[in-house]
Amino acid sequence: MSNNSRSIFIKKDILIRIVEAFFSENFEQNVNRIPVDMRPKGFDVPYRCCLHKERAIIRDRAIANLGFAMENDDEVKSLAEYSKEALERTVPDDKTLTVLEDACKGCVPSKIYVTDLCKGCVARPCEKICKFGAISVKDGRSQVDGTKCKGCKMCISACPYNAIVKLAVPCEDACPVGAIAKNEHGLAVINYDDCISCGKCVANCPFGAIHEKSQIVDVMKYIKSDTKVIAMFAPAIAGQFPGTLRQLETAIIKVGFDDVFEVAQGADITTKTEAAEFEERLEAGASFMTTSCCAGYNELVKKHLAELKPFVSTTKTPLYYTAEIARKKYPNAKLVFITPCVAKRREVFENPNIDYVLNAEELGALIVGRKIEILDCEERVIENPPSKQGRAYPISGAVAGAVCHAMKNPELMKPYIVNGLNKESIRDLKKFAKSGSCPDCNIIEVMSCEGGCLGGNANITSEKSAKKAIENILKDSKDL
Amino acid sequence: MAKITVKICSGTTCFIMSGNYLSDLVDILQTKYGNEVEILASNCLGQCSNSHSKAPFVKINDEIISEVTPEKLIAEIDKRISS
Repeated sequence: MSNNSRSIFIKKDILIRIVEAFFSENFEQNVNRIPVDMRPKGFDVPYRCCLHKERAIIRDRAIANLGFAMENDDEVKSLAEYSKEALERTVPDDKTLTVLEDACKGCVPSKIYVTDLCKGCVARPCEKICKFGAISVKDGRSQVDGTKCKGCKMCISACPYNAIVKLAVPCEDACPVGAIAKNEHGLAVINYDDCISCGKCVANCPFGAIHEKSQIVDVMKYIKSDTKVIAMFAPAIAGQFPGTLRQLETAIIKVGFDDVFEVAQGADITTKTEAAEFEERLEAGASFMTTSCCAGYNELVKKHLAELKPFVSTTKTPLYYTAEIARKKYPNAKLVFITPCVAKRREVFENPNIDYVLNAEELGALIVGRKIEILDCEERVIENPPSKQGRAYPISGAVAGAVCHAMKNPELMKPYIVNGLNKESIRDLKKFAKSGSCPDCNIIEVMSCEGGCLGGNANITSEKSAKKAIENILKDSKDL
Repeated sequence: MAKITVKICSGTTCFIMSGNYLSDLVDILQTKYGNEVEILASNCLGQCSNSHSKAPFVKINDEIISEVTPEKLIAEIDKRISS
């Protein structure tokens, strides 16, 4: 699913309206109006069955954008009440995602289905191959007994007419760890014990039914207060907006932040530390090491791949080091990390130095809602910009590249790049951990998203144009 | 026939509201239409001050088109070429 889908447009539209409402005379009442303002009487119903359902789903999205779980919604509480509660909240919800029940009704539970293409043939390979006795032929056509079927798909490959299909549930198919499934009512439910917050379900649901719980109200609350609020933006953010990087920083200041840090600065510390650690490990005879900056991957190791833990670098993430620098300079400020990543929300919950997370869409909503034109902003002047290697971190392969650049003996590195976590790449990682070796490699770079952070689910631009924009920035950046 | 001028708004609102996908098409569309059409990425066309929901905007000759998708943009250009 691309970042250009209509449900993402609607999500951003709602976020901008929440920002406008926040800086208006009456936040609560203006948020309350959003569903009716977006779908007024007589509006052509673009997507759903009727105006009322459209409004219901806009209400759901607004609740998630105010930072609440739809799972706890009683359908009676108004958006005005939710807005008030969002202002009073001191700690955001630590479960990153929520499923919008009204939107999540499009797909039927995943099952094996025999289509009209079935010829009811004499050979009946489907019936023969099924180990569970789930297929029988009735009235000249194969039938699947759902109570016996285990979904192994052997019948699908056996049928010479391609007559048997598996009905897809995109969120279930996209989840690399089996943490989301439809319940008996046809509603997707996330199992947070297993969920690694990779955001693949968010990106792949064609109904946009899975939503991040936004912290935008929490951040705006502090922007409006006397408390200093500091932005730290991930290197991937550099490719998400018009204008130059330095113009974007000015825009972030104009939104109301008191200072801005490039997380690429912390990436430079990660690079040097990780290169030293890698060389030490090699000297001690280690067979391989994996990178440790991807939050989705770190969650995966913690929840599903404990056996890989000894191989994971103990070097901290670029965000960790950047937050240390920012915290030292601003001991009493609220630190906000800006990212295209869902999983970083988990990392932030576990790092007491960082207070809040905004994603690229939410920063975009703040800039649009505050009516700031980035192209008209002046270039912010900064001293000691981060290196080319640090700024390249969000591109798949670039973390290993940076570590290699910082090594005393770079020729020793034999990298293996995991460009996106999925069931297959997780199986491979498990295999490497079990055997204690990775063929022809001694360092594994893992990026949970395909294309690295540029494939993050909350990005505004396509991976391709983000990469182009970042490569332009790299041209003007110095080597580490 | 007079040349058709297409200005794709690259202002912040349009860019964020999916207009960046149109800006990505400037070179491809220029190649597709050749000399008949001039495709440009433009600074803010000033249309978003009232409603970001109608973004992204494109100006074809003197006419503003709202809620533009790549499909809609191509259809609008084709319509003007054939008329």
